[in-house]
Amino acid sequence: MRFKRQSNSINTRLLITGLAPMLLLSAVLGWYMISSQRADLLTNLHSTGEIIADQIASNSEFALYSGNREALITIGNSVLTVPSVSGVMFYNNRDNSSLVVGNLANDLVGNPANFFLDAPILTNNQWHFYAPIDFQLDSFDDYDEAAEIEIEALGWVVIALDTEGLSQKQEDIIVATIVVVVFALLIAIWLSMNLGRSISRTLDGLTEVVELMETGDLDSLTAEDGPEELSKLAHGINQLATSVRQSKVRMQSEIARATSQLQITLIELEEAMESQDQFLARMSHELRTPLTAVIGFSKLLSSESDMDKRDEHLRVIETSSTMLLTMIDDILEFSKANHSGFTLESITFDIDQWLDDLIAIHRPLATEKGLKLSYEIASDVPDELCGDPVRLAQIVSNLVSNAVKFTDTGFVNVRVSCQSVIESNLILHIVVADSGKGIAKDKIDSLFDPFAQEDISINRRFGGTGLGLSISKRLVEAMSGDITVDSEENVGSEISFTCNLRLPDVLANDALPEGQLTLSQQVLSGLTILLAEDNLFNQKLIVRLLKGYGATCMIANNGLEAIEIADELHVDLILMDLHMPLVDGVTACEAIVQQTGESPPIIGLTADITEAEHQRMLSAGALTVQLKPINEINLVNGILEALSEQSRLPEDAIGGLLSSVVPVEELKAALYDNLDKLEDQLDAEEKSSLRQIIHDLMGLCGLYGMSELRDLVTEFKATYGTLGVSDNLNKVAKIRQHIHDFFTS
Amino acid sequence: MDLIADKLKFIFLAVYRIVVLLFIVPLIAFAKPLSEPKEITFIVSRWSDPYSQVVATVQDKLPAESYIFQTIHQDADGVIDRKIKDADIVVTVGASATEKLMARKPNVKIIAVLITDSAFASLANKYFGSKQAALNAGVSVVCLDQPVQRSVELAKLIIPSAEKAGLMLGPVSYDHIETFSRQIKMAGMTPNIVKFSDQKNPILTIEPVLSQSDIFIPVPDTRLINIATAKWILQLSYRHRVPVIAYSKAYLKGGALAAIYSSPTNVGRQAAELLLHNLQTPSLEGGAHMPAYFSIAFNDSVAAFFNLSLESENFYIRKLLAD
Repeated sequence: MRFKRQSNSINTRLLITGLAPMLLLSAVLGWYMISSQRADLLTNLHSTGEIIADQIASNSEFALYSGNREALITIGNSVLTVPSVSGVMFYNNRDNSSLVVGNLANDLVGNPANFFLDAPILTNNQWHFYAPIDFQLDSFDDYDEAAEIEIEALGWVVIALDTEGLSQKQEDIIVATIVVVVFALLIAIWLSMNLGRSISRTLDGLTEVVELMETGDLDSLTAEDGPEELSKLAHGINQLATSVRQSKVRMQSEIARATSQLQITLIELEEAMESQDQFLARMSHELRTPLTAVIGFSKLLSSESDMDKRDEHLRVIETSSTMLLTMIDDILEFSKANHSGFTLESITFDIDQWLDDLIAIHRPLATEKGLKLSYEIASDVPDELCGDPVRLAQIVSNLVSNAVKFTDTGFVNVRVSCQSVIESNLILHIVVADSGKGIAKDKIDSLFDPFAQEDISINRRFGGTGLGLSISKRLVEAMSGDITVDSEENVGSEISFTCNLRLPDVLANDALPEGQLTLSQQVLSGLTILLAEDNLFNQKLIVRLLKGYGATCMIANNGLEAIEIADELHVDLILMDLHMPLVDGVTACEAIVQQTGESPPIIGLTADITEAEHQRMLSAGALTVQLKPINEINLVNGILEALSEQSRLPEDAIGGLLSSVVPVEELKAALYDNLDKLEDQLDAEEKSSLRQIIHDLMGLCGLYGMSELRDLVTEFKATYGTLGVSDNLNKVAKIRQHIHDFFTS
Repeated sequence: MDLIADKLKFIFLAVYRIVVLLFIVPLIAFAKPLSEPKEITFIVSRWSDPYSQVVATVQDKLPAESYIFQTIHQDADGVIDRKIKDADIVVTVGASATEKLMARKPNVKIIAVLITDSAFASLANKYFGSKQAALNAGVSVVCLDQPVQRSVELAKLIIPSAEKAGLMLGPVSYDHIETFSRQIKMAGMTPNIVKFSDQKNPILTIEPVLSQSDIFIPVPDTRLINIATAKWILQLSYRHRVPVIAYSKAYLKGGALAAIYSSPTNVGRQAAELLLHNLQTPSLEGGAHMPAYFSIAFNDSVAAFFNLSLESENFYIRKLLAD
């Protein structure tokens, strides 16, 4: 078992993988070296034998021709001094005589022409080589014109070479080759083992860390050494461990936060329930008190004969009834706001007159308490505004009433100013300041909650239902505004709010019937709309718009989120931007349409006017495609149509809500932020994100109908690839100047 | 008056010039030459140097305005047939060229040069029956073989101490053994002569004579004899330290000490002289001519081997000519 495991280890496998070919290679190379060396030796021997035979044949020509045996013996003996040469034979063709010097195989003595067939002969452990002894008849005549050179074969010479030396050399070669091969093999084994050990050591470390990760220990790290690939793998695993650890921490943190949020929500819910209980108790008490007074004094009235006392009883009954009626009105108002919102009127009114009348209502009580009650209207506020002066007065009156109520000394001041004017829309900013007792910091957040008052004792002391501020907040929101509180205990409070109003001349010019188009026309009320849009600014704008029409909104930052939300949650309709990161609008449409169950209708949003893009969205499953800049009326009607709702906004209506919800400063900030990013990218000559930035810019321009700016950005988009950095920066500067001019004007 | 005289003088001169042109120019154009140039045709065995040098030397020695030279290769049979009809005399340069022309037996004077005596004799026997018949038929020859006497005298000049002069004769040259013996004796040496035939072993035949000589002189014979003996004579010369006086430059390169031979210039010069003589002689009969001129050359390595200090070639030429 142990052996099997060992044989499966990387170390062993590497050893086998490295050694098997090495063994084979060594065997092949060894065989090749030995055989080639042996062949070389034999070739050399043959070459030597043939050279010696040729030389001897040449040298012995004269002696053989002259029949000088002594000379031949001398030549033969001289050859015998050469290593391996063991014998020489001279053969004379003229007399067929042979002369042998040294040792020569007996069966080769005689005419070599009879037994040599061009090749050397091996016999008796001797190689025998032969060469003819030819006599070339050279001409020594000048101008000899005979072409042929005559050659006469005088005889032969045979040389015998011993193979003993050859065998010895061959043995030496075999030994040397084996030594070299074994040495190479040992080195290969050593290298393979080292390599295997280094790899397996690193892998063991990695395995150990992965096993520790499995057991939940994410703090262990492995050494990032060893071969480059394994080092990278170790680095990757370490990063994975770190990432998992961070994810775990983040998840734990998320869970803790969510739990905490849940606990807070639970507490808030409990508080709300408690508030409601308290409210009911209070209501019960408050309603009982005047009602008891009415019942009691009514009984007394029937038995009382004194007219003065009867008048007194009647006054108490009237006061108690009025108080009871006010309480019931507040409760009904709050209930109405909760269920169907407020119906806002659109009436032209004189702001100065309106405020003066409003202040006059509260002046007697303020004077009675010795307070200075005043108001200021900024010069930029037009004299006449169009809106719902009654609801606006209700808000301001509630705030002033509270201020007077909770201020014992000092002042109550109302300031009215104009926050912004875009086209015919005006955002009015109203601040009610006092030098009252102030509000505790921890109570400010719950100040606008229904049925809540800072302290039960307040109710006891000052009376009231605790619904006034809550109703005021609902009214402000209905007017597309925000309400904020700034207060310091024992110093005073400032409650400010914004609300959207219109300039009266526009209404007059448009000749719209009063009240036909109102912010309160919440035709999308009760609908849940998913907005898939990557641009944060656009998200805010469209969500505000849709909320203005009463819809509940969800946001997906990209196509992927849109797919997930559509799959998991109920939505009545999806507004899908075309260009988004991760998954674009077209792909998201296709995925949502293919989801199980009935998929919600999808309306595509795009600033791209090409028919092909629209067709892509429609092919992917979008019901219709709406162009940016958004036409408010078309969008709302498109939504209603997609949902087969009967109600519609009039097509000739002016969509005032879109303009009213444009947060100008945020729009400016977003535009400038995109321009800054554009300049940074151009400076760094990094064009990878340029396309996205331009897309965002065009989205903003498109959404808000800034057509000239959109043209500039479109031109920049078309040319930035062909221009240099400085030219592109000039164009961006031009765009920046245009934005500045736009907002200044 | 002077003006009229000048005009008459001008007219007279113009008429005179026209008359001269009309009569003199046709005379020049149609007049026969006083003596026609002789047409000499060279037929060469090869286009190589020695053959061209012979032709060039002949042309150099003869006045160009009096002769028309043509050189034809022996293989250009058609050209040879056409040209020898118009030729006044034909010079064959080399044995092969001589054979080509002899085979045609043309009716024209022939001078054969650059050919050995034995080769000429052999060709004459073949095509004319005998050497004399060839000569009678108008064939002249300038033999390559220098007289043995010049070799003997040169040997004595080079090695004055030499007492025995070895001489190898072949079947052809053996006829002159008496003459050669006398010439050796006249040079103050004792003749040591060996006759070689192609059936004998040259080493066994020549070695005894050569080893007993102070200097050895091979006499040119038939090609077969020359080839069979030259190599062994040179080896024996080296082995027995006996210098050889050879008859060719090829022998000299092979290991002889000195050579007395006919150079292409020598041959050409003599051929030119013979041409002049033949062209001036109406007789068709030819003649065999010994080489009138000769050249001498030494092998410095062999001379060093024999520890000999030699004068310049010209020195020995002058000495021989003076004798």
